[in-house]
Amino acid sequence: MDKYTCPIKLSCSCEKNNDLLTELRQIDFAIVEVTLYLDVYPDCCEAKEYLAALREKRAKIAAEYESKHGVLTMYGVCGASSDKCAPWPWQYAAN
Amino acid sequence: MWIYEKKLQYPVKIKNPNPKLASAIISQLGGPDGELAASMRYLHQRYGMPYNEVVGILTDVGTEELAHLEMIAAIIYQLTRNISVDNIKGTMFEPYYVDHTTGLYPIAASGVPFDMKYVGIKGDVLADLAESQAAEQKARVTYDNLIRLSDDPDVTDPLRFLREREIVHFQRFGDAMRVVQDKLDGKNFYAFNPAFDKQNKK
Repeated sequence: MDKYTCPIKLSCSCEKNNDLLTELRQIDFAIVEVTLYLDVYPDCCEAKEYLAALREKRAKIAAEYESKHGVLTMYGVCGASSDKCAPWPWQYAAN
Repeated sequence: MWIYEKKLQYPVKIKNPNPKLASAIISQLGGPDGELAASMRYLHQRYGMPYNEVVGILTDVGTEELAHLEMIAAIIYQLTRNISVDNIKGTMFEPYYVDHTTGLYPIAASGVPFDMKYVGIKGDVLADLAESQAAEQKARVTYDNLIRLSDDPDVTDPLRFLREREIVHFQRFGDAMRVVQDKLDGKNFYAFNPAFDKQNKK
């Protein structure tokens, strides 16, 4: 991520409040953006490198998030016990 | 297949309930240019596309629209949570409340339930891509209208995010349109010949 620093991340407050969910959302947003771009410009090397770097970082952040707040998907890395289960995404407390 | 991920694409955190505003925003759940129509349009148009670039963009944008559907649902959910009947009486939300209480039912602001008649799938590359580009602009206009109606910054913020996504999707569909036109042969460049006559399905 050193070479391609996400511009979205720089302008946000996630590093201050250490909000893992915010950081995860920002990485995922960048992944969505670059994926849509690569759909129609599949030969762009710069975008491919950027995506690879984002995916690496995403895996780490997602694992950390899941270890604290329960699984994100049915393929999550840890069990969603009652004391470690994030609220549903549409609820006020989840955001 | 699809995998559900337990988070919103962009945060929705609305402090104050406002059923009147909810009954306007619900159009992006089940209205003619809403997120349900968008996802259904792209995810079904993709089967008729002969080029990988176009199948890819329709799949990925169609999937993102499902995430937007959930964001709109979250806005409606939070705008109508813990409200009393006194908050509802005499507002635009009253007829909806009679039929659905505060459940989430895909419906247009004008009261018409979601209908696939809003969605155009012609099985023709250029016809369908042009429909998709128009759909993004129509959804962008709807967000413009909703942002004008919203007097709550907690609501306007996610609406602005969603509006921006319509613009990006329009741009990507425009790129896809150019990819398609570059691949058409000389006789088809002006897009007069139907895709059906040049089938190359695998």
